[in-house]
Amino acid sequence: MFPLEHLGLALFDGLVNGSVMAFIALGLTIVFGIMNVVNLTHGELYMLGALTCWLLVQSMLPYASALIVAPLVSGGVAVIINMLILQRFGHEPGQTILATFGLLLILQQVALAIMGPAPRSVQAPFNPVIELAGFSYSGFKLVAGLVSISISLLVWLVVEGSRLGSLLRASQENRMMAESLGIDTNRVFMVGFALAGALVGFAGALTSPFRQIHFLMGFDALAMSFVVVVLGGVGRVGGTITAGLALGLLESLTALLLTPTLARVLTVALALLYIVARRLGAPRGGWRY
Amino acid sequence: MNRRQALSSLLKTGVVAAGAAGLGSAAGYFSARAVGGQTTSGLETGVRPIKIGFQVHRTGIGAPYGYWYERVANAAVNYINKTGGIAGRLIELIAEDDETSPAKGAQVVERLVLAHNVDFILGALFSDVVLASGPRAGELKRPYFAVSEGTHVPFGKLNRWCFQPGITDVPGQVTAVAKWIFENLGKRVAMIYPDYAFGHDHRDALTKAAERYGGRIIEKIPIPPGETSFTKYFTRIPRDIDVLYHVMVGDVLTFIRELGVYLGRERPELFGFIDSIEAVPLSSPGLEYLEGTYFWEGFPRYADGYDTLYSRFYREAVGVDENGADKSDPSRVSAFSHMFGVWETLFVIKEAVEQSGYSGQTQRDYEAFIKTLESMDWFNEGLWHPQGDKFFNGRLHQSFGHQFISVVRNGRLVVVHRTEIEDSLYEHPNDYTRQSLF
Repeated sequence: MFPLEHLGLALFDGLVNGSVMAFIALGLTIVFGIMNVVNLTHGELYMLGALTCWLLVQSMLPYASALIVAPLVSGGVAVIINMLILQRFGHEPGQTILATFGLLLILQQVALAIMGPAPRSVQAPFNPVIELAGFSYSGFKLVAGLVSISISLLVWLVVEGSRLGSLLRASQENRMMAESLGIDTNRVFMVGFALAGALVGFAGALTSPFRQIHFLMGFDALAMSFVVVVLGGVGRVGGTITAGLALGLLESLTALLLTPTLARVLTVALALLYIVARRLGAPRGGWRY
Repeated sequence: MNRRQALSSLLKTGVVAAGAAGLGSAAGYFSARAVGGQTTSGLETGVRPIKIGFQVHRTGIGAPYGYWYERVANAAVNYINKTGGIAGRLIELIAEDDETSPAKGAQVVERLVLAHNVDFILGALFSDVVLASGPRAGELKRPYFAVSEGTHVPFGKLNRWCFQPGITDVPGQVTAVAKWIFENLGKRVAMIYPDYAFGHDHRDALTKAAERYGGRIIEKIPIPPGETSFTKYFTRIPRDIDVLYHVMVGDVLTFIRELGVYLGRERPELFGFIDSIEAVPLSSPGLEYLEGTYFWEGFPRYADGYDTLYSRFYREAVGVDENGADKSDPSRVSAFSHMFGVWETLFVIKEAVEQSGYSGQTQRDYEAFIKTLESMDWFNEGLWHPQGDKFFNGRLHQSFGHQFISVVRNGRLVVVHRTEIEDSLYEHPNDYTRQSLF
C-alpha cells in the first residue's frame, strides 16, 4: 500500500493537471463541439502560444506580456485560417480535415525554422515551492491550474448563458435558417475561431514555464484535447471541464497503483468504455445539450 | 604476450602512427581551405564519385540530432574530398529527410539505392527508423551504417549488411559507466527510463551490470512515451536509494523541473545519460537542479573535458566552440556526444573501401568490402577517430570505445572519469559472419 501523503499528492496533481487539460481543450470544444468544425491545427495554435511566449521572454520582455500577446497571435492565426481557407470550403468536414492537416504540418515547420529543433523553456516569473501535507508542489503550476479552471468556468458561463453561445449553436445547427433570420454566420464563425484560438494561445503561454516548448508539442495537445472533448460530450463546455478533471485524477490515482504505462492504458480504456456506454444508453435522437 | 597486451601494444603504436599521418593531412586540409578550395592533388578526374546516401532526421522528433548529424557528415565529406577522397575518388553525399519515421526511413533507403544508385548508406539514429531501414538495405544489398547506439545491430536483429562502427551501443555504454556508479555513488539504485526499446536497453544493461558489480536495482520506473507531466510517477521513487538513474524521458525540461520540486535538496545522487539534455543548453530555465549531478557523455561537450589535438581539429572542422555550441550561434548547442559517430563512420567506410579495393557495385567488391570490415578489430585514435580508439567486433558489427562521466559544476559539464574500452565489452552469441551475403 502507498503512504497517505502520496494519495494527497496524486489528488492534488491530478486536479491541477486536469484543470490545465480542460483549459487546453476548451477552444476545441467551441470549434469542434459547438461549431462542428474539425480543426486539426488546434494543437499548433497551442504551440504558437508557447512559441510566442518564448520569443518574448528571449527578447527580454516580461512573461506577463506573453499572456496578452500569445492569445492575439494564436487568435489572429485562427481567424486567418478560417477566413482564407476554411470559410471558402463552407467548413465542409472532409476538406476541412485535409486543409487543417496540411496547415498543421506547415505551422510545425515554421516553428522549427524559428526556434530550431531543440526543446526550449521559459523561466517562471515566480515559483515558490509550496509545502503541503507531506509533499511539495510548484507554486507556479498551482497558480496556472487555478487560472485554468477559473477561465474555463467563465467561458462556460459565456457560452451557455450569452447571446454569443446561442449564435454559435444556431449557426452550426441550421446555417440557412440562421442566415434567413439575419445572422451573419460567417462573422459568428469568425468570432468562434478567434475565441478558440485566443484561449488555446493563452494556454500555451500559461503552461510554458512548466512545460517544454518544442515544435512538435502541438500533436500531444491535439490528441488529448480530442479525448477530453469527446469524453465530456461533444459541444458541452461543462462536460469538457469535468472530463479534464476526471482524466487528470484518474491518471494520477492509477499511477499510484500500477506501472506508469499500464496506468495510462487503463485511463484511456476507461474513458473509451465510458464513451461507448454513454452512446449505448443515449435516447433516440441523441442527447440534448 | 596475451591478447589484451597485444591489443594495447597495437593500440599505442597505432595511435602514434595515425596521429602523425593525421597531422599531415590536417595541415593540408586547412591550407586547402585557406586558398579557397583548390582541388587537392591525388583525385582522379573523370572517375565516378563514391555515392553515399544519407538518411537524415531533418524533421520529426529526431530533428535536434539530425541537424548536427548532417552538419558533421558534410564536414567529414568536405575534409575527405579535400585530402584525396576515398581511394582517389570524390564522395558525393546524397541526403534525404526520413522525418524520423520508420515507414519513411525504409522508403528513403529504397530511393537512395534505386533512384540514386548509392554505394553505401549512412543510416539513422532513432532505433525504430534503423529497425525498419536495415532489413530493406539488406534486401537491396547495400551496406548500411547506423549511428544509433541501439542494440539492433550487435544483438543480431538486422543482417550482415548492417554495421555500427562509429559509436558504442547502449549496453556497452551502460556496462562501462555502471562500474563507476556502483563503486562511487552507491549500490542501491532506482531507474527512470522511457518505456520503449531505448529505455529497455538501459534497464536490461544496468540490471545485468548490477549483478556483475554487486549493485541492486531497487525500483524500475518506465515512463510512457509522450508524457508531459511526471510528478505522479515520482511517488514510486523509494526514499532509501543511493542513486536515481535517469535517461531520456521525452519532455526532459519538465521532468527535471518537477523532479527538483519533488525531491528538493535531500535528494539521492543523480546519474543521467546526456541524451536527456543533448542539444539543450545547461543554462535553460529549470536545469539549475542538475548542479552536482552526474552524466554519461559520449564525447565531452566542453572542450577541456577531452582536450586532444584530434578533438580540437574535429571541433574546428564541424564548427563547434569550446562550450559545445555552434560557433556562429552560441545558443545552438550541439549533439556532441553522438554526432562524432557520423564523422568516424565515414572514415571507417573510407578505410574499408581502400583496404578492400572496392571499386564498383559488383558482388565481388561488396563481398571484399564487408569481409575486410569484419576483419578489422581496432580503430586508432586520430583525426579519423577523435573521440578515442575503438575496438571493433566483426562478429557483432559493433564498436566499443571509451565513455566519459561528467559532473555538472557551475552550470557546465566537467569530466571526472574516462572508462576503459574493456569496461564496455560484453558477451553476445550473435555472429553475422555466418550469414551468407548473396
